[in-house]
Amino acid sequence: MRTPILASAAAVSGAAGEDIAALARQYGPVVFRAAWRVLGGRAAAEDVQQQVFLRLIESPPGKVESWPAYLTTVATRLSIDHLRRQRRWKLLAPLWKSDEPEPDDSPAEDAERAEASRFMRAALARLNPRDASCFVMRHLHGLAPAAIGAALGLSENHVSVSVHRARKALEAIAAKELSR
Amino acid sequence: MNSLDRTLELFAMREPDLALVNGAQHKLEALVAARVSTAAARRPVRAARGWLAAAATAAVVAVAMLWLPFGSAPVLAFAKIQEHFRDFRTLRFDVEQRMDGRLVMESRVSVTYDGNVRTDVGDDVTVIVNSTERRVLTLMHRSHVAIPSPLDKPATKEDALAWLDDIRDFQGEAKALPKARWIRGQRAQGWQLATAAGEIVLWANDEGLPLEMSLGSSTPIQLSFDFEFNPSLDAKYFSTEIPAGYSRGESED
Repeated sequence: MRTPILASAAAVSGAAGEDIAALARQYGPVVFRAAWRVLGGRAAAEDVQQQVFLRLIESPPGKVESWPAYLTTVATRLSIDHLRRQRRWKLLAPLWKSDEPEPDDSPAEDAERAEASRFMRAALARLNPRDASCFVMRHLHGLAPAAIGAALGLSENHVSVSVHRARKALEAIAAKELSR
Repeated sequence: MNSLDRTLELFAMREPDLALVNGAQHKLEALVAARVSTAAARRPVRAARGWLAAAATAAVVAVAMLWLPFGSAPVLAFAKIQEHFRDFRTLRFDVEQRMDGRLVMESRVSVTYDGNVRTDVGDDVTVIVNSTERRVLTLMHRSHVAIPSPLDKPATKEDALAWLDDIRDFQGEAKALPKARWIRGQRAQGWQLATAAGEIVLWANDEGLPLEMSLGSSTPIQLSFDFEFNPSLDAKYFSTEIPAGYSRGESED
């Protein structure tokens, strides 16, 4: 089943390849940063960035109200998918070397921040993907609920409910970790 | 502030270094250029040139630039160079892209006479256009993701011949450079071509075998090509089957 984001992208043809190349030049850094904030590693963020624009070429969207919001949304969704794949892989092969993103931060990064990043990535991978995407777009990328809704094909109210649900789930995961 | 807010604040304060952003951007632009050209080759109007259009897909800059010297030289000696481009079974060339002298991208392009093209962009990405199978496969090596897609326009002999006619009829001007060079142990004659894409300098040996080509010497972005004609290229090299260990990437969820 298609997600609303990609369904809307595929529904209307229009953007020519040259336009997509121009979009990549203009918004490539926006997309990379959006992916990196979630994933924290160069290689994974590059893969997501490239997949975002490859998908645009394969299924060019027609009318997009806000390209930064749209592209950030797709990058977020792909980043969440990446975290979920990573989690599944770890569950399947717990004894194998973990596929953690390579650290781009300085070695002096404080332990508290590193732990916060580890927790958030692991917890986001466990959420409903749509809720996780809404939460990341709202709290990590700072997008307004209306912009998130437009990009995801959801009502503003639906976005707020998703963000709230994600928050409750994250709090529950955090409480469970603390109780161990 | 509760515990989750604090965790989120710490998580959200991280931003990538500019060098990481710029490095990713260079790779992205090269990949998009290659794939945009692939998509263009599938459109009926542009696909009229048959397998050359398919060839141009994966090697966007490289093959497009390679194409230019074909029709730009009325000089008899230069015609020998054209013959090599015209009659090859396989062709492989390495492309270096420099920005103000700094190397920013390396790629290797392999082409067969019947329209299969494989482009390896650094160690990160491979794009394979297989005209026989009418499929395109993009491999993202680090994440072991393979994205297959159809090549809608089939290659035909007629199209290929039309392309050859285009080349033969093309009129232009090639200027022989006064000084020879030695390239890989061979004496090479230089040819300077003024084209719409800018100045091209092509070096070929005494038999007219093209060895090197450079573009954009007077612009911030320079491209250099290192040619090898008729190397042995296994058919597996152009396979669009998803390799073992790669997962299938989907265009749509």
